[in-house]
Amino acid sequence: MKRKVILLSILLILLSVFACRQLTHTEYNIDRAACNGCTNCSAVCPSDAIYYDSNNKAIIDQTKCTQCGDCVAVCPQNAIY
Amino acid sequence: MSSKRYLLSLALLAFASLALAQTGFWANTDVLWRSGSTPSTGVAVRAGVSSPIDDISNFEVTEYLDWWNFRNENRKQKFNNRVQLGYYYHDQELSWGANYAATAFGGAEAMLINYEWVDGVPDVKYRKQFMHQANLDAEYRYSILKTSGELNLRLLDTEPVQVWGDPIEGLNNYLYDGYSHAELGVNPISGLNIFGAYDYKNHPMDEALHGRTIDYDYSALVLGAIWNKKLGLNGHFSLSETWQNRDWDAMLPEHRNQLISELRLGYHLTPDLIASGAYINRSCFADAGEPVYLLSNYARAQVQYVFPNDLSAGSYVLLGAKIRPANDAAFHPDTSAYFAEANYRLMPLFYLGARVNLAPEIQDEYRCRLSYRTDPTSEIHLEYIGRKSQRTSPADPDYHSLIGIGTEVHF
Repeated sequence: MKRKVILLSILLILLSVFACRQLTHTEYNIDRAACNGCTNCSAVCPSDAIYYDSNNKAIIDQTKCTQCGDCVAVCPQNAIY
Repeated sequence: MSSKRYLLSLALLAFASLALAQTGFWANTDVLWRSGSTPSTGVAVRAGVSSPIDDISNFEVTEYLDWWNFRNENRKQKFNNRVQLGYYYHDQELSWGANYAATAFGGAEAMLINYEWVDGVPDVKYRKQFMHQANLDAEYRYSILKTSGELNLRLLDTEPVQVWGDPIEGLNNYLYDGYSHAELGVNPISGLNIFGAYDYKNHPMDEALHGRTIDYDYSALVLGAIWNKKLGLNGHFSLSETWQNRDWDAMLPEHRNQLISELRLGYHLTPDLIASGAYINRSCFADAGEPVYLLSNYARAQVQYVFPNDLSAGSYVLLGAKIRPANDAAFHPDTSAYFAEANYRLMPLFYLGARVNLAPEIQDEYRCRLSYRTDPTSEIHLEYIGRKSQRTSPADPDYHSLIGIGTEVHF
């Protein structure tokens, strides 16, 4: 069991290394497990790109997001990456 | 602002609070005074009512209020008040929920929402006034099959402000976004779920903006697998791999296909010591055979120790880190953060808390809180928050501090 877990973890890390070409642009997303639905991020979003799902977890609408990063600074859970 | 609807929401909140039996109530209220570049005063209220209707369903009302006498710290409005009413049902096979949220905005600045560059500048900005959101979600499990769906409908009432170009007649005040998600999954073996899903977002174009060439509709086909495993009695582990094929008008070609790899671990090392970790990698490519690009790498780990001598579990120490390197440092900052938090019972009923959150390229924050607990779940507190923001300019960081007094009540 432990061996399988280690192998899968290594595969994930290899995938990260494989995808080593970097873009000048990025995408911000929200770690749902860490989000507490505080609404700080949507209060500062300058393009109305953050909405809440049925479980009050914040979601970033990538069609509206301008990657300004304002939401990252105000998240008390450090949930935006 | 649609004040009638807003008042109706508040009336429903009051009705729900009074009418439901066996109601649980919680409220956090803080008054804050801010010094620094923009001295200001603010009030933050987070309150909720939850009531079980029977063993498998419950009703909830929540109220989130933020009011400041100045727009500061990048807030796009002085005031926003969100009231939400929800009903939730859960049994062995079916779970579903429906809720409605009404948000009122005051003193909002005009923002670029769904914009398109016209002759080098955006043409219309929108000032938020009121927002309605209705959510519906359901999940049905039968044998090894699982199907689920979600609908999030948002109607934003705004005041349009034209900033450029020939006057546009008949600009629509209402911006509508409809998000939907449908998913079908199968569990061939215990702990493994293989699923397919489809996401669709509908954003009708304002007919007055007939000259626009892009819209904000979105669709995505999603395929993935998630494996959940319990690690003995004390831990859990999950691993998932998801592929998304996405499409929207302004999307960069490299973003069309996205691979999301996610690993999560949680473990009780001892009854009082909990460790958890997560790693998410997002990579993308235009089409099969095209180069794969890194979109983001995110790792998070934290350890929390709860002092066993405090039976209310109010004394603890938490250490953690979030690692998220910049994709390209010339264009975006590294958003990594290192955090530590502690709360300790100094003497019966008095607690001293502290929190440090260091994000070297974003903002450093220091908090200190003295609490007096009126019972194990309610308190009155005095708080100091100091911040050094690097976002304006690393060479000239913005220093500001806040002093607050507040209460937390649960019953």
